[in-house]
Amino acid sequence: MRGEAIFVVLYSVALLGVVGLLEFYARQPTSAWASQVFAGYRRAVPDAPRPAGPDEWPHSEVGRFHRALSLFVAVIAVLLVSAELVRHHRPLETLALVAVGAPHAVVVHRLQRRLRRRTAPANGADHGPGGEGGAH
Amino acid sequence: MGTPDTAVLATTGDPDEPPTDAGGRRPRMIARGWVQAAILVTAVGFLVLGLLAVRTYQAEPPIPDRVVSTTGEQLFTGEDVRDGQRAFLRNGLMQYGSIFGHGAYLGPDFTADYLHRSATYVQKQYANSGDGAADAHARTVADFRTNRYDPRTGTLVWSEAQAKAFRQLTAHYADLLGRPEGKQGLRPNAVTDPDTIHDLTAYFGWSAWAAAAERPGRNYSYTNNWPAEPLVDNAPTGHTVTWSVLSLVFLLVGAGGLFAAFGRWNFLGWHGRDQRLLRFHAPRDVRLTPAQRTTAWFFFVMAALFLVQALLGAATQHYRADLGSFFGIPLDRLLPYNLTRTWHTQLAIFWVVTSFLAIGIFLAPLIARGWEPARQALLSRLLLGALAVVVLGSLLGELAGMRGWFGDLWSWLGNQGWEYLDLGRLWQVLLVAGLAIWTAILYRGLRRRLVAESVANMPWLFFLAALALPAFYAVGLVATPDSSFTEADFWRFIVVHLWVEDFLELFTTVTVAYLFVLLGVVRERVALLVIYLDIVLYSAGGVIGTMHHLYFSGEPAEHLALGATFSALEVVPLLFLTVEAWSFLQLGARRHSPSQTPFPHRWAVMFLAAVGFWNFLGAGVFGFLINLPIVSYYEIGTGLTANHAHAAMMGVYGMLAIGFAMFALRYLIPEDRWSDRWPRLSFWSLNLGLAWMSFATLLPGGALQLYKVLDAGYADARSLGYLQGRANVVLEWLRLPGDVVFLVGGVLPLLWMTWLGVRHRVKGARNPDAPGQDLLFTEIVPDDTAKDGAAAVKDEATTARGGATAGAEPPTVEERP
Repeated sequence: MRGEAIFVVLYSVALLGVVGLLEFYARQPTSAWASQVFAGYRRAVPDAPRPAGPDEWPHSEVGRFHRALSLFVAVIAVLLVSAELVRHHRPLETLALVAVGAPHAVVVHRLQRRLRRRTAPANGADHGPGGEGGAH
Repeated sequence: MGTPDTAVLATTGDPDEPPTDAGGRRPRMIARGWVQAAILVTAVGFLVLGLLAVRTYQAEPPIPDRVVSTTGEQLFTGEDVRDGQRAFLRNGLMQYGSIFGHGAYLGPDFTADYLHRSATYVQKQYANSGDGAADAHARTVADFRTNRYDPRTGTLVWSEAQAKAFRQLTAHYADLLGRPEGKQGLRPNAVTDPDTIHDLTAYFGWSAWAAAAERPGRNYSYTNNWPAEPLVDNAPTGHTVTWSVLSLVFLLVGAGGLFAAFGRWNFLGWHGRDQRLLRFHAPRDVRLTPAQRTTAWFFFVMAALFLVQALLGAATQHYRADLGSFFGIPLDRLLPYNLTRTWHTQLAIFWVVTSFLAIGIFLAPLIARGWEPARQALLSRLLLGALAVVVLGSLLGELAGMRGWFGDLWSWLGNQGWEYLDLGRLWQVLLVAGLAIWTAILYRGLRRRLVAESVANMPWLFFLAALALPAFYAVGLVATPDSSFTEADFWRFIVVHLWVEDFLELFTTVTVAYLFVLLGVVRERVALLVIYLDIVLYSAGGVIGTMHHLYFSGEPAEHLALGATFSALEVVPLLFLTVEAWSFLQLGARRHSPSQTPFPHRWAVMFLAAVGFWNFLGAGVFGFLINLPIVSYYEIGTGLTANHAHAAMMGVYGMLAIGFAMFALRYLIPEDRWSDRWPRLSFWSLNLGLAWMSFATLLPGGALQLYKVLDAGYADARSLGYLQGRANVVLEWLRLPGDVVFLVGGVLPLLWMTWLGVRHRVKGARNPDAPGQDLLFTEIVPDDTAKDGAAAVKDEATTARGGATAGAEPPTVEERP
C-alpha cells in the first residue's frame, strides 16, 4: 500500500471525526443558559433563565450551519477517496479506501436528506428578536 | 468588580434624566476595577513588548563588514548583504519565497535552501578529498556551527569549502532567478544582473550562516537552530521543546481556570434574565444622515476589492497547481506569482479596512443620536476618494516597482517588499494619514456626545478603538528596506499580529457591542463588560504573544519562551470569548417581543455567528495547531500556515466586514429592493467555499508537507520539485470546486447587493437640525414592569425627548443575576 493512499485513508478517518464533531455540535442546544459551562451558576441561582428552544432563531440556524458544513466535509472526503481510487487501486488500497469512503457516502446521503427535510427554520425565516414578521 | 461607583453620581432632580457628574458628564457606567485592570494589563503588556524590542536590537544576528575565506579572499561585504536584501525586497521575492521561514510559499525558503545546498557541497568536497573523508560530516558541522565572526574587526571567516560553495550557489541563483523561459512563478528573466545576483546570494548566504552558526556563549544558532538540517546538526533546542510543553500546560490551566471562575461566579452578569420588550423601527422608517448615505459607495468599493482579491487568490493558487501556464495563457509574463500574491495580501487588508471605515462613519450619527455636523458627507466622500487613490496607486506602484520602473525611488513609490507591508512608503504614509483623517471625521461626528460622557464609557471606547487603528498601523513605518531582517520582522508583526489580531479585534468588539446597544437588545453595561473583558484578556495574551511569529527569525531565546507562553494563553480568551460571544449574540437575538416589526438584521447576525465559528476553528484550532514552538519549528512557511491564515483572516475579519455591510445595507437599500435571497446565497457560499478550501486542500496539503519536512528536511519540502509532485498537485486542483462556489455564489451576490445600495440608495436624508432621537428602536420595556405598562409610558416619553437609549439607563441599576 503506497504512502499516498495511506495518507488519504488516515485523513478520511480524521475527516470522519470532524464530521462527527460538527454533527454532534449541530444537535446540541446552543443556548448559553443550557451550557455545561454555567452548570455551577445555574445551581447557585434559583431563577436561572429558561434556555432558548432549539427552534428559536438564531438557535434554529446553528444546527443547520454545522450540519451543512458537516455535509460538505463528508463530500470532500468522498471526493478525495474517489480521486485516490483513480490514482491508486491495488486490492489492498481499494479495500481500505472503500472502507473509509463508504461511511462518508452514507453520511452524505443522510445529512442531505435531513437538511432537505427542513428547508426553512421552524419559526419562519425572518424571526429574530422581536420578530414575528414574514419574509421580505 | 461589581457595581459602578454610585458615589460619583449626581442627579438633576428629574427621575428620568440620566445622572451626571460634577463636570456635567454622564458618569462611568462600569466599576472602576475594570478600567484599572484594563489599563494595568495593557501597560504591563506593552512594557514587556518594549523590553523585547530592545533585546531585538541587542541580540539580532550581526551583519559582518566583510566575509573572507581562510586564504583571505573577500567573498562579500556587509554592504553586499544589505544590497542583497534591497534587491530581494525590490523584486518582490518575499512574495515568492521566504527568509527565516517568513514570506511566500511557492519559491524556496532561501535560508534553508542555501544552507542545505551549501552544506551538501561542503560535505561532498570533504568526502572527495583524500584526507579525512571519513570525517566529512563532522568537518561540515564544524564549518557551519563554529562562529568565526570577530566583532572587533567585523570580519567573518568561512572555510575554503564554504567559499567554493558560495561561488557555486551564485551560479545556481543566477539560473533560478533569471530563467529566460519563466515557468517557475517569476516573470522570465526576473533578475539577470550579475552584481544583483551576487548580492542576493550574499544575503541568502548570510541568513544561512546565522541559521547554523552558534550564538556566542550558546550551543544553538541565532535562529534557535532553525531550520531542521541534519547536515549541520540543526535540531530543535531545549528551549523549543521545553517551552512547547510548558505552553500546553499554561493553556490547559488557563482555560480550565477561566471557565471555572466565570461559569461559577458570573462576573459578566449577562447570564441573568434580561428580557425586555423591543419595538424596532422598520428600516424604511430610519432616516439616514448624508454621511451615512455615502457609505453605500464604501461598501460597493469593499465588495469590488473583495472580488479582485479573491480572483487574484485564484490566480495565485493556480501557480501551485500548474506552474506552466494559466489554462494555456503564460500568466507569469503578465502577472507573475509574486505580484498576484502581493496584490492578494494587500487587498485583503484594503477591503476589510474599507468596511471598517464605512461602519465607523455609519455608526457615528447613531451614537450621536442622529446629530451630524455640516459637510460630514463631503469629508466622507473625500476619504473614499483618497482611499481609492492609495489602493490604486499602491497596487500599480508594486507592479512598477518590481519591474524596476521607478529606479531609486522603488521603495517610496513602488514596493517596500516586506510581506503584508509591501506598499511603497508614500502610499503607506498616505494610508496612515487616511486612517487618521477617518478618526478626525469620527471625532467631528461624535464630539457632542463625547463631551457629555465619561472617558470610560462606550462612546469614548468606540473613538479610542478607532484611534488605535492608524496609531498601530503607523508602527509599520519603522520597518524599512534598510532595516535588518530581524528588526523589520519585529515591527512587521506589530502590524500583522498586534494591529490585525488585537486592535482590529478591539474595534470589532466595540462596534458589534455598540450595534447591539443601538438596537436596544443589550444593555450598555453588559456591552461595556464585554469590551473591558476583551481588552484585559487580549492584552494579557495577545501583546506579548506577538512573539510567537518570531521564534526563528534571529531573536534570542526569551522571545521564544515568552511568545510560546503568552500566545498559548491567547487561545484561552479565544475559547472563552467564542462561548461568550454566542451568549452575547443570543442576547442580540432574543425573540420574546410582541413587536410587529421584524428584526431587520438576520443576516448581519448570521455573519457574526459565522465569525464565532471561524474564530474558534480558524484562529483557535488551526492557529494553535501551528503555534507550539516545536510544531512551528518544522511547520513554519508550509501549507498549514496558509490554512490558518485563510480560515482566520477570511473567516473572522472577512465575515465581520461583510456582516457590517449587511447591517448598513439593510437601511441603504429600499425595502422594495431588498431580498433575503442574495445574503442567504452569499452567506452559505462563502462559508462552505472557505470550509472546502481548508479541508480539501490547505489542511491535507499542509499535513503532507509537514510529513515531508520530517522525512526529508525543510529545504526539500519547500522546493518547487515537491510542490509540483503529483500528490500535491492533485490536492491543489481539488480546491477548484470550493473556490468556484466561493467566488460565484459568495462574492458576486455581495457585489450585486452593494450595487443595489448605490443604485437605489434610499432617498431623503435626515434633516441635520432634527431633534436628537434613537434611530433603531422605538421603545424598550423592562420585562418585569411591562405588565402595567408604566415603563412603556416612561420609555416612550424619554424616547420622544431623545434621552432614552439602552445606554442611558441609570447606572445604579444592577443587572439581575
